[in-house]
Amino acid sequence: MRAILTIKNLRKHFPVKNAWGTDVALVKALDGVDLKIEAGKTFGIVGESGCGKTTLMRTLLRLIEPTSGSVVISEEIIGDKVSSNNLEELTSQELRKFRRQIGVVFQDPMGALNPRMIIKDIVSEPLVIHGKTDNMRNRVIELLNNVGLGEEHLYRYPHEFSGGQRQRIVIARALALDPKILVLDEPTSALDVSVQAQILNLLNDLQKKYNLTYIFISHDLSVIEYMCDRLAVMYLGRVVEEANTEELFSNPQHPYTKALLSATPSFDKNKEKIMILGDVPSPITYLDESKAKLATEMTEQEKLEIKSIEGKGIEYIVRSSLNEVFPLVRISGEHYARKVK
Amino acid sequence: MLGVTLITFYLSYAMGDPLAAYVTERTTEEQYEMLAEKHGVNEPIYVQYFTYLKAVITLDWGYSEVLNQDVSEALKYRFAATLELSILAFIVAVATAIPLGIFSSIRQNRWEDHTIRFFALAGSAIPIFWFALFLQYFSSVTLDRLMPELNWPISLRYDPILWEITDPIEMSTNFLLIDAIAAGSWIHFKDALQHMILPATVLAYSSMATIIRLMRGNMLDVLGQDYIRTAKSKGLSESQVTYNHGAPNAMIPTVTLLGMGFAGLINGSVLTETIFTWPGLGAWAITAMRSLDVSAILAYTLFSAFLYIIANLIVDILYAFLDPRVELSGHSSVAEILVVSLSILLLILTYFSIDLAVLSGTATLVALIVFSSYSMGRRFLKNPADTWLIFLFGGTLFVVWSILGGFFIKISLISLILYLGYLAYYLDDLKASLEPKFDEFKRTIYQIRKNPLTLLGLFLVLSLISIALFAPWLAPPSENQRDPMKMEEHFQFNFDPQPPCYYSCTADAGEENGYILGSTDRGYDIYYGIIWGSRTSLDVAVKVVFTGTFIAVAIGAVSGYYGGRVDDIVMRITDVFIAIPGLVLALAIIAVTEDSSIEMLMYALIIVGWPGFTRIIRAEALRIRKLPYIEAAKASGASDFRIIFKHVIPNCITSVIVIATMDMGGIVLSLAALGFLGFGGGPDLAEWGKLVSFGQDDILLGYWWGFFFPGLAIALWALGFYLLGDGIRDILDPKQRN
Amino acid sequence: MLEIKDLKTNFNTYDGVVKALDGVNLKIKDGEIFGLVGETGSGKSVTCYSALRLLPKTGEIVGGSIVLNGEDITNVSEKRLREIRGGEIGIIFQDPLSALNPVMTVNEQIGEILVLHQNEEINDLASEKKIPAYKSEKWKASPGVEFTIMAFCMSFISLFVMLGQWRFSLPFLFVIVSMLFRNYLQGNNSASALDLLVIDALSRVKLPNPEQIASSYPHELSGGMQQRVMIAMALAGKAKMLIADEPTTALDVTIQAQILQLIKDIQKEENMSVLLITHDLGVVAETCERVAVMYKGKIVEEASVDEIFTNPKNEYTKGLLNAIPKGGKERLKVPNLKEVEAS
Repeated sequence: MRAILTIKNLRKHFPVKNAWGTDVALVKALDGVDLKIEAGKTFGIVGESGCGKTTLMRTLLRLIEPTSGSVVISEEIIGDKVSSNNLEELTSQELRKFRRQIGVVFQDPMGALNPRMIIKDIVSEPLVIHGKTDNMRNRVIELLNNVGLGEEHLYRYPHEFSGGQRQRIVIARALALDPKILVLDEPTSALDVSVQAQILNLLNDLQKKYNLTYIFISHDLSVIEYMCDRLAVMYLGRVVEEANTEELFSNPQHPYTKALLSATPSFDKNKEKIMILGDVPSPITYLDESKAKLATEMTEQEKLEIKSIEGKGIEYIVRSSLNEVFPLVRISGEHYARKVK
Repeated sequence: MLGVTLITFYLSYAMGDPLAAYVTERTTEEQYEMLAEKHGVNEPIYVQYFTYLKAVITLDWGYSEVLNQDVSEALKYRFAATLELSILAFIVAVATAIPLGIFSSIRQNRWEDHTIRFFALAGSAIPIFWFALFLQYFSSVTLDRLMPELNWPISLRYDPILWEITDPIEMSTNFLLIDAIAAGSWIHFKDALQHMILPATVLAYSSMATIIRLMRGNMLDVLGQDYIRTAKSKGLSESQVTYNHGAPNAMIPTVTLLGMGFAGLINGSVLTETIFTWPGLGAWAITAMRSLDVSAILAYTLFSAFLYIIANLIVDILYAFLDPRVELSGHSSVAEILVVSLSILLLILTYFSIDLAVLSGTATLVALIVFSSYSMGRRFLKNPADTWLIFLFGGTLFVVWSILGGFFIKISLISLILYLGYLAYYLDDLKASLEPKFDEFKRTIYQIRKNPLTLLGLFLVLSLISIALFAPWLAPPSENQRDPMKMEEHFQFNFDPQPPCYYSCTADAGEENGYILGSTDRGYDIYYGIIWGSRTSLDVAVKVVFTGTFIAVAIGAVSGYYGGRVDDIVMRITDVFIAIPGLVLALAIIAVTEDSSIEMLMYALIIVGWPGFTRIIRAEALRIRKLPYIEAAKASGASDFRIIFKHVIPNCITSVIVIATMDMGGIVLSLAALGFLGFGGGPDLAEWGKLVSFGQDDILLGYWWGFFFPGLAIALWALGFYLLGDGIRDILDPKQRN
Repeated sequence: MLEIKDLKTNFNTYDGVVKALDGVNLKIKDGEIFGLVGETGSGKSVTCYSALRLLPKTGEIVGGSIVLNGEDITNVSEKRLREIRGGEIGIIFQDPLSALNPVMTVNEQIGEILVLHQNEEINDLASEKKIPAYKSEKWKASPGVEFTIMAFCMSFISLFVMLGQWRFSLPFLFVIVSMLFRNYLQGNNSASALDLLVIDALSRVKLPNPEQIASSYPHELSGGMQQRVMIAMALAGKAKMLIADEPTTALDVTIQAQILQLIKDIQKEENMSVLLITHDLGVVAETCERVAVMYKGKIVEEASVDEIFTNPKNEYTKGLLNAIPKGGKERLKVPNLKEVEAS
């Protein structure tokens, strides 16, 4: 396995300040994430809102600085003459080089396009930034053709396009500099299923054509299952399970993964159902020791919900039981999970 | 607050000899020295500042020579007069404006809505002093002719014969209405109320207009929200939905801007009190400024800043009351708290010992300067790309200099040529991008056509600008006139104002037979004044708005985009300026420099105008920097320079255009107000506000044209730009697209 | 229960008239969960807004009829329509946070619908338990607000004292005194009948601590709780039918499962009809009994859930089903809209 990016014990804590400006608590958006991303494959990150997947993406792109930990880049991305393989220690010139190699596609295609720029300027922006202005017009047309748009769209404004077309434009921009890695942050969750199918097909085609590495972030398990070779399930800033897709879907180990898999609506009515009870706990950790730990006793809500589904033959787990942190252990081969008692 | 005292102190320092008030012809050199010693004139400037600060804290605000009275004493009496009037006006304004705004929003785009919107815009556009004079004329001349027995009062707070001679009652609170109630006297109450109605109406109308517009806009926003649909789906009636769900939500943003409305009220009270000779703070301030009474001017500036801060405190509380999502604590940063606590510490120290305060104040200042230059230097060293900021501000300064220095047109011509060259170089692109642009244009035209008020505004603006451009043909100056901008005095009628003769004054009869729009009592031709006055207005408005725009965009975009400490500092500076009501600050600047030339007026208006403008741009930049496309640009390695120029500023442009258009009207209103108060760039410069003030003198004789026509010109100008700005906002608003 | 016949709705826009609904026929029986599926712009939400006449100003019903329990409500009076909204048909929306009024407590918002549609019950309960039917709430603000009011009053008092007008400081002094002693001034009043009914409505949707939730504002609740409050509100008027417009789109899958389970439970307990509008075929498969597929303002297929997933008849439905990734890595089939339009 050839790791193109290695994430080591990455943490990102956002401080919560009180009125006097002192930190009283931390939002642990990322709390010790270890991942290896393989070249030429699609790596999926799945989890519910607030689990830290978007923070992970932003840290990878170095839009925000991590609190601790490192992202090690393989030499094939930025060439061998770098001062350090650690993303955080790159000089600004090297960072520019790195950014050439990593493209990004956002969730909301309308928000990701500047409404006051025409498509030509939007797609060519990375080229201008990195000084590749030779024959730019043809390059832009080529990029647009790659994503199924044409020359006639060059001088249009974003608001004249449909959601799917906008996402194609975003993809074209992300590919402008021939990157090796593409970070896809929920690229289809704002789209309809038929458009989603088009975009997913397009992404698969592009991956084959340019041998791209995808980091695919989503909350939609069916899309993840379709797209990814390997995948990590995140919960409250930590990876709770990581395995190859087939292995994970056929043999989930962590109770949260099991519940997540079963909670996804599907056409199979006989599928085993595991309800997950209770509300998503707040990721805030108070610095004050007495409040610091998330309670592992059941909350009122959970007790009430247990009462309401008891005797219906539905299996369940409660959220508060997930609050205790266990170490990540190897299950088999490349399959890791946090074992719960 | 400390910042405000800095400004007022700086003003007082700039005013020159503070001892002039005490010096007469008989003062000897020795006595002068003694006085100087006593007032600490020979001390270094920062020691003087702290002496001044201590005086402010201990409420020893100096001695007013105009009133022959301690300033603190005078404030106490006059404060009550102004407060009584302002509170009444504010209550009337809020109580009528909010229902009107709500009503207008639920009748959106029907005739009721158009009427109310026009009424509201007219309220902002009609100069306060013109409206006041109009009411005065109406009640003293027209009403007097119809109902002579009414004898409606048009000046002062009360009838001195009644209150002081025939039936004196105790005036313990100085709030006359309350005193009258306390004394149980209906006659006194009625008298006080009668005196109050006209000035209160004038004051109320202008702030009402702002509140109506705010409320209408906010209501329209709220009515499109999901929870309104939820409320309807519950089965609530239309009126229940509007008043229980719509109005409380729309009130939240309205209330946050009521503080601004109160500042407008203080501005207005200066003019209203002067016209109605209301013995309040405003009128006093004008008297003080005309006679350069240092302590009084400073005290007034300081005091209105106090009032404004208190009003904003009330607003903050109301805000937290109305919106449960807001917690009052928790949004201030370390820097803010540090600054506030340092200021409080300084104030306390000053109260006890000036020397100690001077010492610690100097130490703090030095520490601050060292710290900020250190951190700035480190920033530029660490991030050399940021040095473009220096060029940005240098460029802005150059542009401002070029505008004020008068070679802006040359520069813009050069840049236009360069731009055309650029376009020609990329001719293919230009051709291809024409069609989408044309589509946009067609949509804009369609929206203008749908909105009759915008059309009216466009028409007014275009015609007024063409009047200014074609002034030499519309009102040719006489042959021996050296400067056409200066009006000529005509002696033929012994300075008696001549009534307008409209079209009957034929050309062959000449001026001897009359003036198209009449003349003023010094023989100025009103028609000539209005035509050439439009040039003054256009000149000042364009220069002030352009300078303000450049400053605001540069500072606002940078401050909003970077956030953090830079933003904190910029915001504190604007706070200081905004805390002093605009007209008052402009007046103080002009009074203090003793220079009422048109250039000085311009500088004053720029100083007054930029902070508000900057704040709006900064808020926009703050919003834009959180959008995903900024993140996308950052992820592909764009520099801050590129992001600000390619992404932040183009997306601010909508609000820049809207505010600039509105300001074109607002600046002329302020200019006219200054002119009306006697600071109009020399006695004979063609300027609308000054013409109105000439007309004011003859109003009781029934010579209405003197104030009417120039005031109409001001009102039409402001109305035109306000309508246009409002229309542009609607058209460029992306929400209106669908 | 609810029958929609040949419903046509138009929107007037800059680009001309848009036919949002072009002859929609639907029949929802008593006590069933009916799914309405379609993509963005297919007109599924417009159908439900048209049914309750909640369309925005630019929208207009131009034809067809809506029959509720045998009564034609297409052209009924505004008054009758208001009885139906909330009283006979409850509705919940996609994003619960924006669908709840941010400045009103949960108690006030649910209380409102109870006063409209359950007034008799409130009075009955009040006379039965000898408690007031409605009551005014105790005055209380957050600590920050209270502190600021105090500070503000203090500064005013000192200002007036400095100016020598100490009499004016009296009202501010009064405010401070009454704030300090308000517990003695207000006394203790017990819960009213309305409060009890609100709490009852909240416990029906399995919310813990209904008293506490009733007194909180929407932004203080989590997304799942907000949607439960919405459901409680929609059901508070004892509606016999629930329209759920994308009720779980804004929620996480695990919370979505809880909410769908809740809707199913309540539907069974109270034997209600539910019209579930969604774009997610999986949600339909798990929840509904019958389903209709919409495309471009028309119903293209209507069948039982089992049938539509095993044996779809319409080209568009087939395309839609094929477009969803269902395990396996084979290339997704994109629905060919030209073929669909032709068929």
